[in-house]
Amino acid sequence: MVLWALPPGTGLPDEPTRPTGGDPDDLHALVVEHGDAVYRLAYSVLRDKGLAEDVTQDTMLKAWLALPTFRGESSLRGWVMRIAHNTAISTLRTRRALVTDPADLPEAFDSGDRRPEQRIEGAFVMAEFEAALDLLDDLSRSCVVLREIEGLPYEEIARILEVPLPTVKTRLLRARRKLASALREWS
Amino acid sequence: MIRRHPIDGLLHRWLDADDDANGDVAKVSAHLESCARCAGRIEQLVELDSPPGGPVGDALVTLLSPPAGLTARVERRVVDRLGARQMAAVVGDLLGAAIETSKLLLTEEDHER
Repeated sequence: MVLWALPPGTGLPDEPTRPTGGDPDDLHALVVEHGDAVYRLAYSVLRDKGLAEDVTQDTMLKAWLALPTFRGESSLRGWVMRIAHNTAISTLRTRRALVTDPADLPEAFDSGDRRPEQRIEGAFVMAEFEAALDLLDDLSRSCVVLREIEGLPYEEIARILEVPLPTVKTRLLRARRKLASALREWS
Repeated sequence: MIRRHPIDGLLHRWLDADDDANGDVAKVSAHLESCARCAGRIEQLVELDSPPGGPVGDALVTLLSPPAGLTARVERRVVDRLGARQMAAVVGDLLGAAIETSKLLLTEEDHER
């Protein structure tokens, strides 16, 4: 029994990948289409894999419930990412108020299953890169992820993060240079 | 009042600064937040409009990659939560109906007396 179906006809005809509601497959489409991007943004803000997954779940739930109110003024990706960013920031604020135990600090980079020498070198590079990422403020991390990974235009990033366009550009610029510098030290 | 803008040398220092001993970085940062002209000049200086991706993008993808099975896990939990919400709403409605019925019955009993 489907208890949570949305009323049919909430979709927009010009966006074929957009879930339209009324079918469990629509939730599947929403999660498949945007879940990874939401996780990456949440992880960049929170720097904790477990919390990032929780935020991904919360974001998908909120997006699904609010789908009928989506008016198509921005892309669906942008709309979902805005929900994700707000949810991540809210979680971060709660987290900062609660964290006192060092064991609760963000997890270390997982080097995967490469050869030992590759793992050591790769781990050094990624540790440097991760340290540089951690030194950035939350807003700069979000800017760089939305641009460098998701490839969103500056204007859309400004809408998602609710900051002026020049702010996006300057944060992105400095973040990019700092991260590139961390990588160059090992190239 | 004439608005003053940082010269290119100062913008370069802002780009390269890691510390802010004399407060220039903070001043330029604050200026750039509201000055499209200087933000545009910064873009020209460093060719900001390069396409996304490259080594930084690759490293970010590696570092922030989602764990295996994320999609299935998230979908399952969202379905569970949506189902739980719906059930809670149904239970709430039933309780509400029961209370309203009790009130009606009590009112009718009062009338009969």
